[in-house]
Amino acid sequence: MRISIENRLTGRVYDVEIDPGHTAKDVIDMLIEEGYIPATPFTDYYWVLVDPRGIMIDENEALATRVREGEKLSLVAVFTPG
Amino acid sequence: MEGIGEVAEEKPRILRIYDPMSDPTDRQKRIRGWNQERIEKARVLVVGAGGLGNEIVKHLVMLGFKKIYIADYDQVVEANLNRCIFFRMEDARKRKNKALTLAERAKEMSPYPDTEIIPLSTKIGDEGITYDDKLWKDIDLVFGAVDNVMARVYLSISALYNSHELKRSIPVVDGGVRAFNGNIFVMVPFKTACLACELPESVWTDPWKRASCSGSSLPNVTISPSLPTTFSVIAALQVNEAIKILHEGALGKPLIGKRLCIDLSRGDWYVYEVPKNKSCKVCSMVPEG
Repeated sequence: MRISIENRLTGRVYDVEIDPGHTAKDVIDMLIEEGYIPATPFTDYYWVLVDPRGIMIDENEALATRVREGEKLSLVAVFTPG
Repeated sequence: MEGIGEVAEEKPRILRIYDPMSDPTDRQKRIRGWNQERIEKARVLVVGAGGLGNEIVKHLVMLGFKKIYIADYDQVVEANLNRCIFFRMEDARKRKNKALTLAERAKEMSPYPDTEIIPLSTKIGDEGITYDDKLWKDIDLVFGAVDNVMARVYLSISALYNSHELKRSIPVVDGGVRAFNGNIFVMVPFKTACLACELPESVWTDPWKRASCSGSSLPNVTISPSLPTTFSVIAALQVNEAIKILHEGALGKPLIGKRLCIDLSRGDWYVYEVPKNKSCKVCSMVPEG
C-alpha cells in the first residue's frame, strides 16, 4: 500500500510503500535508517505519526488499520524543554 | 424652590460610579462570556520558573489571578536572561532561587494588591511536591513549564494521583519550547492521555536524559537553544487554554487531549489528538476515580 508522510518540521513529503503489518515505529525507523530524518528530531524530542483524521498513532500499531491507500500521515516532533 | 411645609422630594443618589479607565480588568470583561470571578477564584500551580514560567506568571498576574503557586528548585543564571522577563543580572550573579525571584517581581508588577504569589523552592517528584496533599488541595489547575521528560512524567503522576485522592480532576496545561518550535498539551486526568502516553518505549531505557535550560552536572545533558519569541507564544497559548478550561466552554472549546505544535520558522501550526495509551506506564500506576 502506498501512503505519503509529511514531515511537519521540514515540510518534506515522503511517499512510502508499506505492508499491512508495518507499524508506526517500523516506518519511523526506516526513515531514520535511510537517512531521511535524524534519530530524534532534537534532544528531548520524539517522532510521532498522526493519521489523516488528526489522531496520533501508537508506535506499535499497524498503520493499515489507520490509513488507506494514497492517504497522507503527518510526522510530528513532540516533547520539548521548557 | 421648596415652600414652607413642603417635603423635599428625595433626589436619586449615585451609589457607585464605574470608570472603565480605572479598572485593569475592564477590557477583558468586555469579551462575551468572560467571567472575571472564575479567574479570581482559580488557584493555580506553575511548575517551573524558567522561560515559560516567567511568561505564564506574567499573563496570570495581568489577568487578575489571585492565587498563584510557583515551584522551582533551580537558581537564576545569566543564560536565563534572554527569555525570563522577571529576572535581572543581579539575580543571576547572586544565584537567587528562580521561584522566589519570580514571585517577588511578579508581585511588584501586579496591578491588584491582593494577588497572592507563593514560591516553592522545590521540584516535582518523590521528594518534591508530588505528594504534598496540603498543596494539591489548594490547586485547581496546573501549568507545566518544565525542561525535561522525567519532570513531565512526575507532573502526570502528580495530577493523576492527586485527582484520584481528592476525587476531582486537576487539569495540566503543559508547554515546551525549543528554538522556533514549541507545543502545548492539555491533560485532564483519567479523561485524556497523560503527558507520558505519547512517550516511545525507548524513553524508559534512559529516562533521565534531559535538555536543560541552565546547564547541569547530570549526565547526558544538552543545552537547548531558546528564543524569547517562541516562549512568549507558547506561554500565551497555555494561559489561553487555562482561561477556556476555567470558563467551562463559555469562551470556546479547550484543546482537551490535544497537542498543538508550532514551528515559527515555517509559520506552521498543527493540532492533533493524543489517544490514551492503554499500556502507558504512568496511567496504569493510578486507579481511576
